Amino acid sequence: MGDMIRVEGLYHSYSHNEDYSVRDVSFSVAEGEIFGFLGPSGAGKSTTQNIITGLLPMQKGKVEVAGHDMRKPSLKLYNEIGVSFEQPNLYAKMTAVENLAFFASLFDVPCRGPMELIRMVGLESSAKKKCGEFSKGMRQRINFARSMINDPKLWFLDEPTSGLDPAIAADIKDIIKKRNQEGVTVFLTTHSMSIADDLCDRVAFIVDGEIKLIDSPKELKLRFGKSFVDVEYVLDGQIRRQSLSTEDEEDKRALKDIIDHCQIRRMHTEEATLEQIFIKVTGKELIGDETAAEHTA
Amino acid sequence: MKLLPSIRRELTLLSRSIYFYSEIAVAVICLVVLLFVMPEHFDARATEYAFIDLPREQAEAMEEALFADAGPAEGVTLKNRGHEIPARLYTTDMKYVYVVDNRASLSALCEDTGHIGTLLHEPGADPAYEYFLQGNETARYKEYVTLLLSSDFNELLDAADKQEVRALEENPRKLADRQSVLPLMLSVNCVLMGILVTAGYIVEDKKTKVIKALRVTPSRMGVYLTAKMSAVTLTSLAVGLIITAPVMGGGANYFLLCLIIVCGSFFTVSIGALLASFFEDIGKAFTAVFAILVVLMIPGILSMIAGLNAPWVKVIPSYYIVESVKESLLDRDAGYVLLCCAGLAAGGLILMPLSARRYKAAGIGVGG
Repeated sequence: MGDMIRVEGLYHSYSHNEDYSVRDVSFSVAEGEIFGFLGPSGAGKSTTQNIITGLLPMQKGKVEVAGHDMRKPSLKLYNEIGVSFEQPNLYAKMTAVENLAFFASLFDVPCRGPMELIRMVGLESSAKKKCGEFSKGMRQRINFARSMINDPKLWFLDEPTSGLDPAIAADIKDIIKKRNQEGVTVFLTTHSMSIADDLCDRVAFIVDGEIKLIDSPKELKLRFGKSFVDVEYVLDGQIRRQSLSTEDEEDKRALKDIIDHCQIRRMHTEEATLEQIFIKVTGKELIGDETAAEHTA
Repeated sequence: MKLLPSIRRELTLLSRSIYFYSEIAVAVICLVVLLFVMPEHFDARATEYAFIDLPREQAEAMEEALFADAGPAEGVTLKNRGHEIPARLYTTDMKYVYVVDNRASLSALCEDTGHIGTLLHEPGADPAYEYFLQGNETARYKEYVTLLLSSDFNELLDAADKQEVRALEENPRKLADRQSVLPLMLSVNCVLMGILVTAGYIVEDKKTKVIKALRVTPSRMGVYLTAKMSAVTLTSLAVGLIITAPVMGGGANYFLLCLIIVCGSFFTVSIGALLASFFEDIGKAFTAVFAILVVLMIPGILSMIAGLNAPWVKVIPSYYIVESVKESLLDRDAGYVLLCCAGLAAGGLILMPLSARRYKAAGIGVGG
């Protein structure tokens, strides 16, 4: 199978100088793969995705998407890709059906029916309501549905489960998995490591505009993973929580110290998460991640 | 064909937008003002008071001679300072003259109403005039009065009769006073407002990031801008016809009028689209839009000032919109209107692709 996305030596500066938001980024995404692009806010995820989808002009480097050179992207490319943005961007004065029907009319390929997609994201009872009356979660689901309207073979998803309740988020993840099994390549941008862990074949960690590491979650856990003890204790009248490695000597000493001198409220072991690995590799925390907990390296 | 669905979308949004109904409401208000508040012809005749201070028989003869062309007098009663003053009203082409029967009434009326008065008396062989001016008359008017008094009136009449008058145009068609407001009203409400409305719509689309969603479809930015232009132009045409049809009736050339509204709107929408590409914030965009609107409104405002000749105003493109609207309303110089339409369309054709390129190349509407 060939590559759906190939990025080589990509640089981008909003101020058109040496102050790069994205610096020497290189990676490729194989056909049929779910590729996670992970990093905290401001790491360069959206800039990279905007360049790959043709929303930002290319400055330096080489990008190929579904065989199209992104230096001069052809409009035909957009018949082959679907993009779901983090912030819902729909016509507030149009209904969900009208929104999807309008966007379907802009493609040159056969499109899926608006109602079929609306049913898929569980909003059939609100299909004829104006999107301006929707909650953020509902708008997010219509946004997600819209990105499937042209049955794309390459699917860009930016925080697809952000702001959704767990049940709906699980449904969305199931849809992504199903579409991937049907052969769709997925480029997933997120700062939620749990989603990346659930869905991605490979992940790239990006921090300060640079890719620090690319590998599969399984391999990363083998390479960097350690067991942790999650301990909640009382010190000086305050409740504290720490995750301490059962392998690291310093952590082991700290754990013994807590047990000897503090009142333990709760303590259990846990396997290393992708997030812990991210912190270990990049030295940065993923601010805003709903799965994030306090860690002490 | 992606243009038709895009236009349909814009019309759907338009029909659900308060802007559209506001514009229609403003058009209806303008129409009501034109039809029911503004007279068809302004009455520019001045009011004057006069008293002929001569013995009764001589005064009557003098009054008859002076107002021979004005037709019979109308007996009226003027009210002043709680008193009723009997007067005879003579209506000429130039003024309304109230002839009263004593100096005190003349003086009181001039003092209280702000109009000028003339007292005619005959101290010697020739009649003498005494003018009651207000003090705010121009130097030119005072010189004019002095000239009349110091010259032989018959000589002046002879000189006026001998003056050769050459008409540049035989029976020129003019707009009635009520209709003469239309070029300004239509150029502002129907054409220039296109800048404001377009900038408003596009900055709103940037704010809600729908432009970003459109950018990842196989539809060109030009299609988006053309659809916007179609919606704004349709509103302009509706507004234009609502105001024009009841005021002009069948007297205007509606084909030319619609053409100048369409071409003018194309030009102004292109300006609005280009301006909107520079701003993410609606407040900042409107500051720039209003500054440009004020400049473009100058030719329309100057066209309302009779006798003002300002050649520099021809540098402002909206001058040609105002003049073309005027020519269309008078159904006069179709060639001039068509030439202006071509110029405005050419301006739009330069600006529109420039805007489309800015939205695409600069990644506008992508941020956030």
